[in-house]
Amino acid sequence: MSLTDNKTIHKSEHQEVWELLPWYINHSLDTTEEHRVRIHAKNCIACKIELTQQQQIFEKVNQVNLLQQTAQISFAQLKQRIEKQPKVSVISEHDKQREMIQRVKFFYSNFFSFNYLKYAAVVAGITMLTVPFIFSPFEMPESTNVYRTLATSPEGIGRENNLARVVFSEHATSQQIKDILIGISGHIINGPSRNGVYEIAIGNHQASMQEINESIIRLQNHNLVIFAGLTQGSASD
Amino acid sequence: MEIDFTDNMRDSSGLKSQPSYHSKEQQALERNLIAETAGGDEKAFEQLYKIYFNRLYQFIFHVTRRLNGIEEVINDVMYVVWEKASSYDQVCRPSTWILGIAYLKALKSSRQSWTREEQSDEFTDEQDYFPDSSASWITEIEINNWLEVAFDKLSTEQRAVVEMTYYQGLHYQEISEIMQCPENTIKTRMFHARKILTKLYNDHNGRS
Repeated sequence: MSLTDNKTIHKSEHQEVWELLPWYINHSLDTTEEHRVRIHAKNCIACKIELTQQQQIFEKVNQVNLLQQTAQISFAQLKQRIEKQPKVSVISEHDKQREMIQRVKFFYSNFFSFNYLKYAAVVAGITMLTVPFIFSPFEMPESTNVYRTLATSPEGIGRENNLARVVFSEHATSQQIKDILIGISGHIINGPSRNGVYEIAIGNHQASMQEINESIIRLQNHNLVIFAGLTQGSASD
Repeated sequence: MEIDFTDNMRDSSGLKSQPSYHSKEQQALERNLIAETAGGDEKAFEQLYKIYFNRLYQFIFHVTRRLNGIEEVINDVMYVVWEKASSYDQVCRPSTWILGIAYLKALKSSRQSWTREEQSDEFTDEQDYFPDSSASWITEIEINNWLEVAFDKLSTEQRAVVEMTYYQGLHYQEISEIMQCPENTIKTRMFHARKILTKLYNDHNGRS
């Protein structure tokens, strides 16, 4: 073996040990590695100096703060988040709705991104064909200038608007549920479902939206109520 | 079980010994806590959370270099732990699994912060916001916080390696698992980080 080869081997050993120094300092090396570093560092001045220097840096950087108090506050927040997540099946309905909206969005985005030109051509063709009819003197019904929706129609303010979905705490007794409902002039229409959802009517048919919303808020604030909200399609939606 | 994070025991060579959270007993405890968490045990999860809070706080701070939002990131990490506890395979160390999640979350948080900063019009003109570096008070701050300055000079990946080596006391193999890259990459990152740290440390010592 030539002198050059010896030098190469020595250099490589030195480099390898040099790279391992931080883990020698943090005591995470296995026995073999640790032994190798110790033996090399004994005879290598460069490694010895580097070891001392890295040890000093290691000590400087290792300043620890105790944050137990902050930990407790933070954990309380996380616990709230966990508690909110899985309990109420009604939430999964919201998720379904969100999913549906996303699917619709996805459909439209695909529609516009991939087939835009094709469909634009079809629409333009149809528009061209309908031009003569648009300008022909058809008798148009008189516009009332009123945009009528289910919510604004007189039929909209009907029986369905005072319906709410409520999930009571599992600790709530039937008497307590009864008392809660009496407090908001409500009564059970359906339920509980398999998931513990009650459908309740608040007040009578003439109950105003303000009264209904106030009752919902009172339910939401009650400690025995996990979820309370108007059923879908009601006036507040 | 409370962990003494200020444990500064030294061995005969004068080097700091491994923190107590590397002991086999501690690992066994954490494995049990994860298993109990997988079964929905909130108490076990709370204990695990408390054990990891400081480690994660420090880790995320050193990777992201931001104090605001750290607790949010910790909760994101621990939320994944809560949700995915049953998928923990018990093969790697609990810390490898949890810090692996934390590393990805911290990177994500960093990227989001960068994007927010890039989008902000208020800080586009650096000259208006960064005073003359020759001002004496800046030099003073630099001397007192040489480590802060040094950490800012490191890349996110280099900071993560230094953090996991010098703060968390992890072996380079474990760091490579957490960062999902070869061991040699970890050694190279540490090599460059050491050079920067040493230079600034020596500068600091020279000035003070």
